Amino acid sequence: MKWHRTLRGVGAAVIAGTVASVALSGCAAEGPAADPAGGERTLTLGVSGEPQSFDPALQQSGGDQRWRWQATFDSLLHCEADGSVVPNAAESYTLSKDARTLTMKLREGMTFSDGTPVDAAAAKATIEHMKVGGGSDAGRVADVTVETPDDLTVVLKAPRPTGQLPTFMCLAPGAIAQPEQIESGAVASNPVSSGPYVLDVAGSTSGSVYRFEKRDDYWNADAYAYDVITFVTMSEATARLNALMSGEIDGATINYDQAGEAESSGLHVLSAPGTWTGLYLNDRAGEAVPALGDVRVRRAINMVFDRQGVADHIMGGEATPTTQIFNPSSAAFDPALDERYPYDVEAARKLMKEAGYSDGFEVEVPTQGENPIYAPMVAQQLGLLNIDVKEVPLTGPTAITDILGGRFPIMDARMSTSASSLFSIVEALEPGSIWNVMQTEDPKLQKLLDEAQVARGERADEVYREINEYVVDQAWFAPWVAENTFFAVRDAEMVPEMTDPFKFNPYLRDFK
Amino acid sequence: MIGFTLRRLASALLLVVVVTCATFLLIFSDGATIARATLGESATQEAVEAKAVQLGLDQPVVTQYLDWVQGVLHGSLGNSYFTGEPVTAMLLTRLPVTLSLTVIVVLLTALISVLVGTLAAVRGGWLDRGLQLLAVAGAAVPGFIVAIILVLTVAVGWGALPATGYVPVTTDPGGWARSLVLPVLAILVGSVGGAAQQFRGAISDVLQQDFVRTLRSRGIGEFPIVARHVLRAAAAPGLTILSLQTIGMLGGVVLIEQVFALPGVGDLALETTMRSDVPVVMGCVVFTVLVVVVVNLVADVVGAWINPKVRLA
Repeated sequence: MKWHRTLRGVGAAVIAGTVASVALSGCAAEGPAADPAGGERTLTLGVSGEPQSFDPALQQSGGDQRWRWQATFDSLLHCEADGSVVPNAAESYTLSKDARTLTMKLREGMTFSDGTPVDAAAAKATIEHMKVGGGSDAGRVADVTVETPDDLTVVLKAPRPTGQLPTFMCLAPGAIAQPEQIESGAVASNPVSSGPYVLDVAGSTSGSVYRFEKRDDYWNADAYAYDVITFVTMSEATARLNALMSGEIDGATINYDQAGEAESSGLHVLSAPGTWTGLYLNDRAGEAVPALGDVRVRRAINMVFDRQGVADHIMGGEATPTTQIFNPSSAAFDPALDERYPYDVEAARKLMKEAGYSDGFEVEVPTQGENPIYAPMVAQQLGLLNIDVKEVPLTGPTAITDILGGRFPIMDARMSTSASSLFSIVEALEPGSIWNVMQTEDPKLQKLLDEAQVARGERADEVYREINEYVVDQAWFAPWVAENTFFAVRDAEMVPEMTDPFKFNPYLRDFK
Repeated sequence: MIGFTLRRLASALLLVVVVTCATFLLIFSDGATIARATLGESATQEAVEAKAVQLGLDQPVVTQYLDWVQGVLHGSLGNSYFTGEPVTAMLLTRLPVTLSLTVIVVLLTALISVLVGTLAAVRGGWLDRGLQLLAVAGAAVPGFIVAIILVLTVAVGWGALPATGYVPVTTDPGGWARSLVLPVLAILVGSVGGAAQQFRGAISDVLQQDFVRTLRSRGIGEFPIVARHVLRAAAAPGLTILSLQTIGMLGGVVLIEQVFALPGVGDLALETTMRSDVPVVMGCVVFTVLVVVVVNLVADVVGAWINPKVRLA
């Protein structure tokens, strides 16, 4: 089974049944974005997710849904492709040494599309609305307090070291909406814009087509190349590819099995490793299945999977073998660690014998109806170690509750990764992390995790690598491959690369 | 006739109650799970519980259903758990898409199948055999395969028609028609194949009957016999076939709407069912049940009008 986790809310991972990748290619000419001599330039993008309200508290940080709010609401900070955080609406920021206080200075003279000022009060009102507005990103700022010493200064205070605070201000919690509109609820359907574009209500059809016009009075208007951006909802990947091939849209997320067809039809396909696929060995403390508490058993499990085979034959070559849960572009990633667990069933059996489990054990592994590609492989390969896999089919919305509730000692998953190492750490390794479903705590690791929250510069990268090395050595997971995500565009010159840290799709400003 | 219609309406009402109640019980999992789905994986337990209370998901499911019924009686289908949008507003933007598609398909199916079915039954020979073959082929190939072939040739290959999207008829009637050609064709292939064959069977049965022989013996031409007498006699089974096709089509439309990125009710139902957005799913169900009820009612009433014996049943 695969868990497609969306970045909604969570922090993290964007995964997505549609793994996206980006492609740029060149054919073009008469697409909808054509630029008739000096005329209005229009960019039309296909969006996979169901459109939500414009209420800033309900926005998601991942996937292609974020384009709509990022067109409408400026974010305080901006995350680069490498995961680093740079100024945006805030022209500077400082994170205190203890990583509990984030101070941001806003640019002077910014305004909403109705002329009212974009100031500290607006930023504060939006963050406070996010905390209670019932959206999926609320958790990121739930215990943060906001202070505004003056009109242009916003200070966030967290009760514990939170090295991710600046990153959160690039995501949905960093959006700035107009306080009066938040109060009245008008923001949900007809938002006043603090961002580069403003919604053209008359030119849009709710739930289907959203048309945005560029704001020339936006402080960073020069960074956006298109006068008009239109988002068309296309939940089905086939529809997105058809629309791309017929020139109705300029860019969209596509699936890995569509990449070849997209390229052969002249589209340009961007791809980058954006997810890891493999097993979560949740019960690494051995609470439910004592055998899993033995590191030799977890290592043995890592050694019965032919990672290259998975990459070549299941993923059609659109993946690279890995033993790590970190994105290959992140600081934590170390190519040498990928050699740690070679495919060697005999050696794995020996490890099981040493651990006293040569007769194996029984374990429940969830399967999900939609994507059972990996399930037979898991049962078969673990069977080589006499591990008896009991498949538990999960369906519908209760599935995620069962998963997160820590019911399964082992589960297979497909998780999005970020160029930001700290992001993955916070998602999966802390005792309170959402994807540390059995809340494993390891004193040795904890020291490193605590340091990761406050470390800066080179020391931070070192800590991330140490954490990764420890987790790989202790075999907390059994990753198989880093899968590519795909994004197709009409024209190779439109977008140079997948520019977001999650490698899901480019930012609007990067479409040229 | 009025009494007959009223009886049909009463049984239709019962159908609506039974179906909506059953659906509500089926899709409602448990409140906390739905609240969790709306908030995302990382929401805290307190936030989830608060959301469940806010949405009324902490109430017994029967109470929730009765609340929903009360809302419907007051003209409100509630608000989406996820977007907060009123369900009626969401449905209103999507009804024109699905209705355009289904109404056009039903009319064309009726017209083409009657023509082709009658011709095949009356003429027989190669025309009849050709129809049988086409009908089997049409029924065997799923609509979405036809859709993909049409898109790849007509839209992507020749650029003659749009591959995706819907244009409201009020915005641009020409664009509206163009946006519907391929989806309508994709559904028609299957529906005409099946319906024409059924019509052929019905007509052919009537042609065997004694009254036709009598008419022929009186020297009346074949065309007037078929047009005035045979078609009328074959109308009852024909209507049944059409109404079944229309109802069955509502399922097929879901896929077609996905392939052509048409923002219709099927697309909405699929999306919202996946995430247990109960009010929206219920709205879609109400729509679907209403279509079923109306189609059956029309078929019954028209059938009764044509054939007085039915009225007594």
